[in-house]
Amino acid sequence: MLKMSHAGNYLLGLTMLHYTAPKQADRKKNPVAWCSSIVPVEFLRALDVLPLFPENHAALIGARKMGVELAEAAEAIGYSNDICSYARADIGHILTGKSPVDGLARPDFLVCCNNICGTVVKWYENLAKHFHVPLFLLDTPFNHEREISEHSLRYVEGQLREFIPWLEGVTGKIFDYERFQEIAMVSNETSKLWREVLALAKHKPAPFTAFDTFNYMAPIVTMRGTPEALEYYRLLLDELLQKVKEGAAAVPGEKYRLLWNGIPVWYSMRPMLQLLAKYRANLVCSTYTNGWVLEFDTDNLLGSMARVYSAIMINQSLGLKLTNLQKMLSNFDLDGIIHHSNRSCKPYCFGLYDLSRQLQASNHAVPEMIFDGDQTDPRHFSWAQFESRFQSFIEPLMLTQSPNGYRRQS
Amino acid sequence: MESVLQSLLEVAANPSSEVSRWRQRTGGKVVGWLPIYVPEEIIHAAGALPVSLWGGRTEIVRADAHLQGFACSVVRAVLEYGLKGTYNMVDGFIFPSTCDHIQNTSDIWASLFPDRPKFDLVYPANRQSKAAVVYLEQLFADLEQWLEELTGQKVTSEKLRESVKIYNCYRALLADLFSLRSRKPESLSGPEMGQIVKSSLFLEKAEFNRHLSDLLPWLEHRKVKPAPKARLVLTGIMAEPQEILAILDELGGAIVADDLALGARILRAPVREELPLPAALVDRHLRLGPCSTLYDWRKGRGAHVQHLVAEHAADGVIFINMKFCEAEEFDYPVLKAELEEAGIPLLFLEVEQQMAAMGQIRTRLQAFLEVLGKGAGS
Amino acid sequence: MILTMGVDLGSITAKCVILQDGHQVLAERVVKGGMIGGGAEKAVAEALTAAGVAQEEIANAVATGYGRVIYAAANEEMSEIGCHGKGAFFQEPAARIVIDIGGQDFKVIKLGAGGRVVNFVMNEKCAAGTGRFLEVMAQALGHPVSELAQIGSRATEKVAISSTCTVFAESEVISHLAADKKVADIVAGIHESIARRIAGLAQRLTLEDKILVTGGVAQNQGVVAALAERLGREMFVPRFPQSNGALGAALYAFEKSSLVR
Repeated sequence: MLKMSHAGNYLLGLTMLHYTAPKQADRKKNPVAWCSSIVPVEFLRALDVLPLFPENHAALIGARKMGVELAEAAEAIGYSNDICSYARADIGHILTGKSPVDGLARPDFLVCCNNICGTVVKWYENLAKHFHVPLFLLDTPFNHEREISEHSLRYVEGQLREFIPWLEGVTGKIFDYERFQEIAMVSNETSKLWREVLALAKHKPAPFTAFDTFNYMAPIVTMRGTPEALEYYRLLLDELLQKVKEGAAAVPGEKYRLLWNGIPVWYSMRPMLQLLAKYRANLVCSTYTNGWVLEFDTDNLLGSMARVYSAIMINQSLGLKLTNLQKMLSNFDLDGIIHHSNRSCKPYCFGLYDLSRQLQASNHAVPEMIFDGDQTDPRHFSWAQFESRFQSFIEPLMLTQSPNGYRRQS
Repeated sequence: MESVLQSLLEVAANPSSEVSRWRQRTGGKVVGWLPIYVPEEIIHAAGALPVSLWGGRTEIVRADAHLQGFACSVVRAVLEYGLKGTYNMVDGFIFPSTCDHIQNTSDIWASLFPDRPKFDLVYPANRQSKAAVVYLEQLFADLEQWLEELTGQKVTSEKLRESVKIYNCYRALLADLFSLRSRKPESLSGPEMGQIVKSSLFLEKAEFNRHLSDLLPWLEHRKVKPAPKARLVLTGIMAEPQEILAILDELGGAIVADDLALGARILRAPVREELPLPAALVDRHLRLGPCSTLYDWRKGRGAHVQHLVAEHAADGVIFINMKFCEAEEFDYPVLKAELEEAGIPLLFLEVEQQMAAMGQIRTRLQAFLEVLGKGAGS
Repeated sequence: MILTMGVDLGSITAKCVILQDGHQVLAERVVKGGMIGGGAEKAVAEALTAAGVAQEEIANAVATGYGRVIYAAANEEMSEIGCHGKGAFFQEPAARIVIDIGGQDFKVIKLGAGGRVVNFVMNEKCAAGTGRFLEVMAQALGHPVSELAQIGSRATEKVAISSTCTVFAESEVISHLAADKKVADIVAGIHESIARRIAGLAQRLTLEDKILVTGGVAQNQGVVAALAERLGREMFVPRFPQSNGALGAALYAFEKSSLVR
């Protein structure tokens, strides 16, 4: 057993709490809501609603290698193997009761935001039908331009205003705006710390890998707006700062700094890390974890929430995605990109080939690799293919780089 | 009359030459739109010809460099056609926010064809919201402005009212055609029926209306096949490849009602002419459905399909699944459970626009009719 | 005496059954060469010789399988699914489920009274779970597909083949070989993979006892055993697993000919 850090222990405790508290909750006081991964959870916290996140749960299912078994259970009742494996795995858990965390407590209502995909809308429709519970959809129109249009933002803000009486209706509680503001402030503070954590990867060598951040991210996803999550990121930041001070490297002898573009391959993180470490390559950052840096303007909370929740990267145009990649490449001084062409996540990977083409044509061009995979369902992933693609991606890098370290700054 | 029918079938079989002819004849602009819902009335009122770009059977060669194999065959075909020049006579493109596939293909399209006019019709998915009304009004106003710039013609309220009348007439005529299909399934072959609907998506609607109103009385007395052994309801995105309909004819099955996107779904909900314009178009969009691509937390599709089965005295339902259409694939298990409970036989038929081998499809259809007690061995 | 014939033209093999009076199998032949390669004619000729009857003596013939539309000599056609139902009911009247695993596809058929098909599911365009999958894997291992069952029986554990995609699975098999995994264990993993895929689809129907396994792959005991384990039910392989569809066609031909009389 590895020695667990203080923050690491705290994280385990939080995860336990997150999944067990809803099971024991008095539903009158603490109703339980199932939510898609980036919803304005601040409204829920203000009413003492306990949110659960089937996508986060599905990631755990994937990491514990239960994806195939549960996806197959959903397929047995007619779910196509083509649809998102998070959805299949999670529906499989509902059907079989199997789960790495003893299942999700039954929802009293559902909240879905399509800022990550249209898939969640369909998924939540089916959940509403299955559980016979109400569903609120927050629609954040896809932005095809450089800027999100004003009338789109007004529409989203309008829905946020309607969300309050809807929530009062389903919870039977009165919405306390002041409490909401306090929670939004906590949420803000937490996001800020999360951003600072991620930024530490700018240090050379980086004190962690992007795969570590896939673990660190759980509280920002599931417990945003709680003092516990805030406390966790304080602890984590302290620990990581200490590591930086000591010059600790997540990958000893770090030579290549890479970006991970996509959702993790949850069931294959360890072999990937081992493979990368063999070549002294570190994935120092990812576009995925950035999704939860959500900072609001507390003077115009609803307006800025409308903007922040609409501006999730996979809800934006290819042009903005490109700009984002270019920024990360220079901010983190990166040598290459690994793109996950993920059968489950259409918005994340349709356009990937053109994104890569445009990047190669820009003055930010770095070596890239694209591999075919799936976040939870290993039936759509081939380790042998990943390994050989990675080797053909890293070998040219090895030839063009100075032997003792980093790329020369231009 | 046979020649009128033939001319419609010709349009459906070869839409691009018809569209090119229209363009040459009128000097007007052609506006192509992707599935599923577009307020064609506004395009029509701007003097342009709205044509549907719903993919088709073409070998995918160029599009593979831009889209993964798990993108649906419709967007892959659209991209392929775009890249190989089939859409050269199209002056403007409308990409509705129907699904992740179309939405993301729109951005790929923009990067490939930055100079070709494109409008992203990003609908409000939350149609229950009051804010959706204002948003949708603005969206249609933006579309109107984009069309005016494209065509150089003003969309006056008179023109719009005229277009609305033509489109309401079009929907009414197709409703008559659908009623004929149920009352006298032997009057048209399956492929003919599909092709008539398809031709309407490429012809100027006043012209199409003239043809169809001429045809309808004649069709009442036409007989091209024996009375069907099995009456079926078809639900899904579209009845393509059309060989499926020919196979069904051959086996003695008839589609008597549909819940297809390229079919009954886009033809529902006439515009309320008593309402002011363009508010009436907004009102229509808010009333559309049920449809897998229009958010519906009550999942009304099952009840609708059951209603169709009862209304048209159907023996069973075929769910024709456009592979990789997530919206449809999420609806299927729910519909399956509901129909099972209601004791209505259901066949799942998976298709792609580019598929060539019909052997398995034939086996499934034949066996389904046998299950219904309407095939060989019964 | 009424003689009828059933021909089942698969993708890889052609099957022919000659039946006397709708209850006695006079001849059964399975030959290589399906739709292309004249398999049908060969199977028919061989079956006629074996039964010692002339083509003219056959009162009625029915064709089924992919080639059914192409094979013009037959008087009637019936879907393979319907034929498998009939064949299964004849071979085992208590059968309620038939799992037919062919070269290009597999189907799971639910039977009602009298062998009538009440529901069915089939694999989609992907080759996972079919004879084709087995063949590609056998090739990767460098063994004939007919030896897989025997090799698999010596396995001490199952090496997981996680990909269902044939191309991915093939590379998995190769990397297992490279990692010095026992061939027998890999084969057991391959059998398991097929069973998983079929069981997954089979569960879309409400399963009942008794389950019959037919088709070319039914001769592979490893796959049958893996299926039994996954579905938690006993599997029966009938006397004519590969010709079950042709048998059903011959039975149907008999029903039709007696109707005519």
